Amino acid sequence: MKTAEAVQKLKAKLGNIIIGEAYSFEETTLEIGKENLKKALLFLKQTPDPGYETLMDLTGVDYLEPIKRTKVVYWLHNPTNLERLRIVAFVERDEAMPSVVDIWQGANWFERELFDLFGVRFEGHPDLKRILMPDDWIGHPLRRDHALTEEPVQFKHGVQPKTPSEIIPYVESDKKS
Amino acid sequence: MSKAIKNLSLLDETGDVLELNLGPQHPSTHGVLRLKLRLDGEIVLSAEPVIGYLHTGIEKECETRTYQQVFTLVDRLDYLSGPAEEQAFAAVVERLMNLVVPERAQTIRLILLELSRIQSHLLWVGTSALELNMTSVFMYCLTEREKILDLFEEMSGARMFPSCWRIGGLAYDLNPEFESNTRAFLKAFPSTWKDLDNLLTHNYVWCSRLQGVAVIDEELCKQFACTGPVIRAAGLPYDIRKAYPYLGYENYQFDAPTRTEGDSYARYMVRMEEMKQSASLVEQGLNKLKPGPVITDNRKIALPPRRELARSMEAVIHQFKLVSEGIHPPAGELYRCVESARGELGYYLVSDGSNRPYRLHVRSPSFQHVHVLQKVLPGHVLSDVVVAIASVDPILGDVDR
Repeated sequence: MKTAEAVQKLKAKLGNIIIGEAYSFEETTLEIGKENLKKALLFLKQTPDPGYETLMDLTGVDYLEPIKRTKVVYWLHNPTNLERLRIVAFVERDEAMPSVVDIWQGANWFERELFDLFGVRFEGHPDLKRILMPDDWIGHPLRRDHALTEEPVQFKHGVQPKTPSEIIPYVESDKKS
Repeated sequence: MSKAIKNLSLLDETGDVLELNLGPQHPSTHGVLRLKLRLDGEIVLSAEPVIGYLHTGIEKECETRTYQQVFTLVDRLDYLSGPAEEQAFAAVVERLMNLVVPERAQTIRLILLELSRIQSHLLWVGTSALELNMTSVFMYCLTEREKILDLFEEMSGARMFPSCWRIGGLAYDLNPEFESNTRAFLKAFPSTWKDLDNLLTHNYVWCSRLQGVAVIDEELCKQFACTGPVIRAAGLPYDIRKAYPYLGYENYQFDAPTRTEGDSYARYMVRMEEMKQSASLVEQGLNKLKPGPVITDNRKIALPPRRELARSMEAVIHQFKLVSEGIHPPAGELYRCVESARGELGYYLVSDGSNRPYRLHVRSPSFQHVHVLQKVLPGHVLSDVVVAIASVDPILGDVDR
C-alpha cells in the first residue's frame, strides 16, 4: 500500500484531524494537532497493511515567527514496502507533547534529545532528562533564540576581531524582498 | 540461542548488587561511551548508556555557516566514514536545488565511499579483535587500512577525510596514479581478507566469545530503528543502496549480505562479507570511470576554474559572490539518507532560502545502536559487555553529534 492510500485510510478512519498536507521532494508531510497525534501515529503503525512499524527519526525545528514554537517532526518508515511519511506537530514553548515511548521503545532517546536541545516536554516519558548537554546546563541550545557564543581570538594592540560567524553575513532569500 | 540469562528478577532480590561505572575513559568503549552497570556477581542486571561526552554542537554550528562550510563540520561527526557524511549532506542540498552531478563525479564519489566503508570495517575488525586480545589481527587490519588512507592522502592531501565534496560535484579530479594504485590495492586485498577470515571466522575463542552475545532480533530492530549491519544480521536485507539508490548504485552488481542469528558473530560475518562487496563495487566503479568534468558548470553554484579569473570579469564576480555569501538554495525541507558503514545516515535539512541552513539535523545510526544496548545487555556476563559494545560499532562522534 502506498503512502497516499495510507493517508486516505487515516482520513477515513479518524476524520478531520489533518491540519495540513504537503508533497514535496518525493516526500509526504502531514500536519496533525498534538492532541490527535498519538491516535494518528498508533493508527499508522498498526492499521495499514503493512504498517509504518519503525520510527526512523524524531527531531524538531524551532521557529520564532509568528509565535515562538517548535515543530516536532516524526519520520515514519515502513520496513515492508519502504514507503516513508513525515508527521509534524507544533508545540508552543510552555506546552507539553504526548510521549510515544509506549508505541516505539526507540523513541526514548529521541525524546530526551528533543527535551535537551529544544526544551520540549513529553508527557508520559519514563525518564525525561538531559542526554547530550551537561546536567547543569541552562537553556536549550537548538532554540533559535539561544545565542551561539564564540570565543574571540585574542589579538595584540587592542584589535577587535570578528567572531567567525560574523565574517560571512546572513543573506536573506532574494524572493522575500 | 542467546547466552543471556532470562530471569533476572530473582537475582535482583537475592544477590548483593554492585554498581559499576564503565567508561567514559576506557579503551574498549570505542570513544567516550559511559555505561552505568548494575551487577550481581558477574551478571549484568541493568545497563544504562550515558552519552554526551563528545557533544560538539555541530547541528547548531551549521546554522551559522554557509552551505560550503558545512562540509568541513559534518566530516567530523562520524570520523571513520567522513565521505558518507559529506555525500549525505551534498545529496540533500543537490536535491533541494535540483542539481545534476556529472557522471564522473558520481563514480568518483562512489569509489571513495566504498573505500571508506572498507577502511571503517577494517578498523572495526581490528579493534574488536584487539579487545579479545588478538593483537596480530589488529596489525593486519591497520596495515591494510593504511593503504586506503594513503590513497586518500595522495588524492586530497588529507588521510581521514578526503573533504573533496562540493555542492554539484567534487573539488578536484583524481590524481593520475589513483586508478593504478587502487587497482593494486584491490589485487592485494583478497589475500588480506582471506588472512583475516582464516584468523577469525573459525577461531574457537572468537566464535565462543561472539556467538549468542547481544542478540538484536528483527522486532528489536524495528522498535529501535536499527539499520545497517545490525538489521542485516537480524535477517532483513535493508540496505539504503538498494532501497533508495543514490549515485547510480542501481547500475552496479552487489549483494546486501544477511544473516539470521542477529548476534555479534552474525554482525561480524555481515561486515566481512560487506568488505568483499565494497571491493567489487570499487572495481566496477573504476571500470566505469570515463573522462569528463567533475563539477557542475553552473557558475551560481560552483566556483569558476582558476584560469578564468584572469580573463573574465564575470568569473571574478561569481567567485566573489560565492566566497563572500555562498549559494542560496530555495526554501523547503527534505530528508535524504545514505548507507554509511554503520547504517542509515540521514540528513534532514530545512532551508528558508537564505545562504545558511535554517536547520540541519543528522539522523545518526550509532545513536540508536547505543540506545538498543540498554535492552540487550542485561543477562550477560560483564566480559560480554565489551563484545556487545564493539559489535554494534558505535562511533561516539556520530552518537553525540
